[in-house]
Amino acid sequence: MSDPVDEPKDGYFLHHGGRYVPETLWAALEELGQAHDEAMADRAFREELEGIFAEYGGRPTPLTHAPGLSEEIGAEVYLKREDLVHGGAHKFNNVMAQALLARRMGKSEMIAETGAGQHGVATAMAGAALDLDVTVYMGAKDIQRQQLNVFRMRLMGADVEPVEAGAATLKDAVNEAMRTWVADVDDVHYCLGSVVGPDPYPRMVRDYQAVIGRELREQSLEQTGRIPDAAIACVGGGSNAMGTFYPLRHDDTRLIGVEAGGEGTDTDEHAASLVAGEEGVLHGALSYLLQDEDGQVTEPHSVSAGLDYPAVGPEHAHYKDTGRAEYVAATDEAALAATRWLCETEGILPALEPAHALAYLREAGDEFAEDDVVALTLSGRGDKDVHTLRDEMDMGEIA
Amino acid sequence: MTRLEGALDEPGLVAYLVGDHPDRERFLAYADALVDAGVSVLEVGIPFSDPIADGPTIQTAVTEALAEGVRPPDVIEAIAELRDRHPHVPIVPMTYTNIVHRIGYDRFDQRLTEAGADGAILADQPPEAARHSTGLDELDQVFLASPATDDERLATVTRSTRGFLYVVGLFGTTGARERLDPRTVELVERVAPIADDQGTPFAVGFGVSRGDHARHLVEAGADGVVVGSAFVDEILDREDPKAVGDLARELVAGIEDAGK
Repeated sequence: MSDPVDEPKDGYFLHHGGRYVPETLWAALEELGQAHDEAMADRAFREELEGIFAEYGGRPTPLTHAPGLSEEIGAEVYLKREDLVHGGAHKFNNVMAQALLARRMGKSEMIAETGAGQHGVATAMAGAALDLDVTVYMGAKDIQRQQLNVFRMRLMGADVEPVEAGAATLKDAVNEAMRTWVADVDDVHYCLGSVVGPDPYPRMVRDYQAVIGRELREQSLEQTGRIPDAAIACVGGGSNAMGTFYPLRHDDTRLIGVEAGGEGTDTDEHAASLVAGEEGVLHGALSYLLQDEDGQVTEPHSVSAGLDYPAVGPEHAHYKDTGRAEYVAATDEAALAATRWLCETEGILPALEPAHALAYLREAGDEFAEDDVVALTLSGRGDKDVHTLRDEMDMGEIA
Repeated sequence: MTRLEGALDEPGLVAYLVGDHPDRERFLAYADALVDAGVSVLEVGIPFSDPIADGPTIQTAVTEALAEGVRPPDVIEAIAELRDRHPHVPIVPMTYTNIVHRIGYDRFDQRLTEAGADGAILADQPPEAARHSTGLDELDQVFLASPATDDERLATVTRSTRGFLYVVGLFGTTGARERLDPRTVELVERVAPIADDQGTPFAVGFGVSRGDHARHLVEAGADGVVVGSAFVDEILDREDPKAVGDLARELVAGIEDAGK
C-alpha cells in the first residue's frame, strides 16, 4: 500500500488515468489542461466562480445535523446538502466552472452527454446563464425514459440530440459527444459531467467539485469542533465523492464510496465498477470497468440513472488501489428503503444516487463510535425520482 | 525487413474490413477480392463495443459483428486463414486499447504474430499512452497523426510509428465523403517533408472513397491512402465481392495514375 498522489503526472494517478483518445483530441486536451491550470491560478477567475457559486448557486450549502439518523446509527450524522444548490444537485458546481472556463477559452458552444438528464439540464442552465450554445447528446432510450428532463433542457434553449447507437444509453451518449468533439474541436468545449474521461477531466472536474469537501471540512470544524471521522458519498462516475474526499485526503478521515449494487454484485445487474469490475480503458481513461472476458464493455444496471455508468473515475481507482478510500455497494432495494428512511426520519427527499450512501450508513452504522462525526454527501434532491419511487415502492397513495 | 516495412515503397492502397463481418466466409471472400485488386496492406478490424473514432458505417458493421458473436480470437483465426491464402500481403489488425489490455499486450502480440499479422493500429492509443503500457514488440505499432497535430508533435509521432504513419485527413470520424476536403491536401503537403525527412512512408485515411481522391492525395505527396468505410458501405448495401474488388481497382488505378 502506498500513499495516494495529490496530482496526476502526465495524466496518470500513478497507474490509472491517461489519455486514451484519438490523436485529433490530443492537442485540445493539452490546451484544456493548461487553460484549467491558468484559470485556477488566476484570482479573478476564482473570484468570479465564487461569486456565481454564492449569488446564483446559493453556496455554501449547509451541513445539516440529522438527529433522527444519529440516534438510530449511534453516531453524530451530518448531511452535506448539495440537494440545496441551484438545480438541485452538485452537478451545478462542475458545469458553472466549465462554462466559465469555456468562455475564457473563447469557445462559443458546449456539448455534453447525459444519461438521466441531470448533467444535461445543468449544462443547459449554465449555457443559458453564461450565453453559450448547448447541445446535449442523450441515448434514444434515455430520452424515452426521461422526457421531463428533455423538456427542461429544451426550455433552457439547449438542443437535445438523440443517440441511436449501441444500447442508446449513457455510454453511447459519451461516445457520440466525443465523436462530435473530434469533428469540431476548435470551437466547441466538451463539458464532461464527471471525474471520468481523459486527462485533464478527472482532475479538472475534481477541482470544481472540491468546494463540497472544503465547505464540509470547515463547517464540521465550526459546528462540531472536529474534522469528520468518516465521509460517505455515492459513486457513479464519482464526482460528488471525489469532491468530498479530495480536501479530506490528508486528514485522519475514513473515506467511503458507495456504488450501485443493483440486484446484487454477485449478479450481472449492477453498476459497481470498483467493487466488482476489472481494470480496463473506456472513454479515454485506464480505470475499473464492467466488461466481459473479451474486453467488450457491458451495460450496467441501477435503479438510479445517475449511477448507471460502466466505468469510474481513475482517481477513485487510485484511491482504491492505495487503500485511501474504501468502496462498497448498496443494492437497488436498500437504496429505495433508505430513501424512505430519510423522508420519514428527517423530512428530506434524497435523490436515488445519494440514497445508496444512506443505505450503506444504515447497514454499517455499528462500525461507528457514539461520538464519531459521520458526514454524508447528499448529492441531490429526489424530486426527479418520484415516478420511479412510486413504481418501485408500490406506494399507490402518492399516485 | 518486415512485410509491413516495405509495403508502401511504391504508393499503395491500405484497405480496411471489419473482421468476420458479415461472417467468416464472406469476410474471406471480400478480403480475397481486395488482394486480387492489388491492395498493399490489409487492415482488419477487431470489433470493440465502443468505437469512438468510427463513424456510422463502421459502427454499424461492428455492432452487427458483435451481435453475431464475433470475438477477438475469431478474428485472430480469420487473420491466420488470410495469411495461409495470401503469404505476402501485410496484415494489420485495427482495434481499441481495451481489447489489447484485456487479452494482455504480450499475449496479443504473440497470438497475432503467430497468426501472421505484421502490425497493429489502436485508434485510441497515442504514443504517450503506448509508452505507459507494456507495449507491442513483434507487431509494428502504427501511430496516427491528424490535422490537429502540430509540426513538433508530428515529428515525435513519426519517430514513434513503425511500418508507416497513418494520417487522419480530417477533423472527424471514419466515413466515406463525396468530396475530398481541401484541408486534407494541405495536411498531406505539411506532413510530406517531415515524414520524408525521417524516411517514414505515410498513408492518408478518413473520408477517402474514390479513385480521384486517391490520385490527388498521392500527387500531393502521400505514400498511400487508407479506405475502409467505402468498402464497408458496399458490403452493407450490396453484399457483392465483385463491387468491393471494383472499388479497390478504381482506387489502385487512381494511385497509379498519380505516378504517371
